[in-house]
Amino acid sequence: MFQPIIDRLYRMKIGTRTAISFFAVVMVVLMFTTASVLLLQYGKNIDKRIESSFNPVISAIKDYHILIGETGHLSADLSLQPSEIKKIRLEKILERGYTRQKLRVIGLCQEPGLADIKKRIIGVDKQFESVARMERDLIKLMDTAGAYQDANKLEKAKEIRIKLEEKISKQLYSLSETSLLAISVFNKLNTQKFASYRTLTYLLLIMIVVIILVSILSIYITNVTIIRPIKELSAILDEVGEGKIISFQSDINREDEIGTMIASAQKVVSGFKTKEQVANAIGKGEYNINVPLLSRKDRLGKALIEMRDNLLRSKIKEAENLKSLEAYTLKLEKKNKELDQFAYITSHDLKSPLRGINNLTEWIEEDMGDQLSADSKGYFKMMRGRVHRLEALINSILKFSRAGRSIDDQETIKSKDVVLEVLGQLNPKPECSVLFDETLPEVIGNKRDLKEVFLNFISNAIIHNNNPHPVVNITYKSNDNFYDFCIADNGPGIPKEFQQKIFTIFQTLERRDDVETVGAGLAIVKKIVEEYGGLTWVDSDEELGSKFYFSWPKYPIPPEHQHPV
Amino acid sequence: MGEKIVNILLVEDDEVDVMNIKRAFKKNNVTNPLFVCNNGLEALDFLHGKRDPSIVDLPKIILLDLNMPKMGGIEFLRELRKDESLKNLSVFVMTTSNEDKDKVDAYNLNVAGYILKPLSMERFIEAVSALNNYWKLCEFPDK
Repeated sequence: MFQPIIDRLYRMKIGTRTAISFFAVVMVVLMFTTASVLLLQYGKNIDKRIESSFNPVISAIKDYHILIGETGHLSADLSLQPSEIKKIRLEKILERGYTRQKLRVIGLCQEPGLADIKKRIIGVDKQFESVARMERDLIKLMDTAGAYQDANKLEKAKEIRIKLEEKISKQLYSLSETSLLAISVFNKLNTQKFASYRTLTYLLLIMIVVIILVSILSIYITNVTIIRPIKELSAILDEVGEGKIISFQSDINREDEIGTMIASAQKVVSGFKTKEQVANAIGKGEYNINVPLLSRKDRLGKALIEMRDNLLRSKIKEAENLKSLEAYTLKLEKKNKELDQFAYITSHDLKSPLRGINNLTEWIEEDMGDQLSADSKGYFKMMRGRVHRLEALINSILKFSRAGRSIDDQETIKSKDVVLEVLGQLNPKPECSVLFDETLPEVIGNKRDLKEVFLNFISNAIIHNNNPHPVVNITYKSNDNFYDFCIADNGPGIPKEFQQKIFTIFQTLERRDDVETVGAGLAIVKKIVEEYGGLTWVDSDEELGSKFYFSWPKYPIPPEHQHPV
Repeated sequence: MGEKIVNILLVEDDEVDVMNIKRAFKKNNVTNPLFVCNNGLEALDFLHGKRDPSIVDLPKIILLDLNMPKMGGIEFLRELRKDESLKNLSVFVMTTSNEDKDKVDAYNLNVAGYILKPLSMERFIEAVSALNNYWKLCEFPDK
């Protein structure tokens, strides 16, 4: 029912709507005030009328009543005894007083409500004509003093007097009735006045109710047309404020300020939406996307453009970096190949002249036979020893350069099996005891690499052990990603100052002529273990022997999680 | 046992090594005629009869070094196995190379043995003696 009105209200500006409702209230108040004033005026008029016409009418009727009564009394007195004063008074009333009084009453009865009274007065007046005639007759009859001695005349006067009394009492009664009638008319008017006051009360009540209704309607309309859309809009703007960008199609289709406001909000949100799409596109790497600017003042848009350009620049730079990195990698690969080539050359081209020297000395020794002195034979032997050492050094270089190369070829290895294999290969002397933890774990790696590590540690622990009963103990400890293996011996121990040095290639603590070792074993071990992301370290006490440690990964681990070296 | 003495071709660039072999042969009483080529190309020419037309019985056994100038041992083997007339020759590699790659390449080209040249003379002589016994037992096709 209200829908068409509300629709029409939606199309109005809020200012217009407010003006209309204000105007409506003012109009209602004005209307009711006017009505009240009119009603009050009406009541007052009635009062005035009562005061100006009805009161005089009643008093006039009373006077009239008295006047008629007086003529009666005068006539009665005159019929009994002569009295000049009374006679003159009666004549005066009959001549002028009566008519004047009668005309006054009739004159006062011009009000439409008093028509009945006027009629009655006229009726009374008609009857009074005969009364007046009789009274005049009486005056004529008793005109002299002698008349009162005349029994005849007295008789006649008595007759007239009786008749007069009868008629006058009738007239007086009629006048009393008229007077009562006038009072009833007055009462009626009073009733009308009170009715008008009652109406006024009702009107006031109605006005209050109407004003309340208008107010409620106005509040309802305000709620429907202003507060609700504003709430809806602020809910949406709240979500936008929280960062949730939603495109909304408001069902509030309006042409007023609210409509404008919603349109503005839609503009804001759609602006955000566009920005979001553009930012997403930029995030996905579409750097040639066009960023639409909402206006020249669109700072977000400008920021997006800058972001896009910066990203594009850094991408180009990244590509350049990648290129140079690739070039670098290529170079590195080339260098590695060169190193391989170097190792190959070392292993063959350096070794064959050595063999030549070795052979030639042997032949010389053979050919010379007994001609050679014992000293010379000793020199030859020493020479061959140096040649063999040189070969061993070359082999170590080769081994060192190749150490850890096979890291790409990994499998699950039982470290206990590796230790057993190493022991089988070393075949320690009977006085030497090698103990190991039966629960040595499974690890990941290249078996040959792990074997190389164990071989070097265990053989070092046996070879360099000067104890009459060498003991080697192999244990392990589990860490997060690594097992820490420990190879402990009861040998001479390593002084603190050499503990770092021993892991460097060709570093030995004894003269090579005394213990024929190359001094590459620990360097090779270190290189292999670090290749797998592990560490090697030593803990040695010169009296208790040495504990060599190395950590080995439990499973293949990416380089960024490896031990820091 | 009617012993057939087969010719042996040694492909080796190091003079001392050549002498070494000759000495080892002498020590082991190996009487097989020994021809020497200094690299793979020379050896191929020799086997095709281009070098010494007077030789009728071309060698059936080749002792091959791997590191040589002009044409190395592996390359030579490849050429040899491609050649219809030469692909059935027995080749023993005698080298200083302990590389897996060389060993795998050599065996892929059907070598009869891969012997590392030891540093000392005595062990080499032992190796040659073993070889001699081996190829004395072997039968070779006549042509």
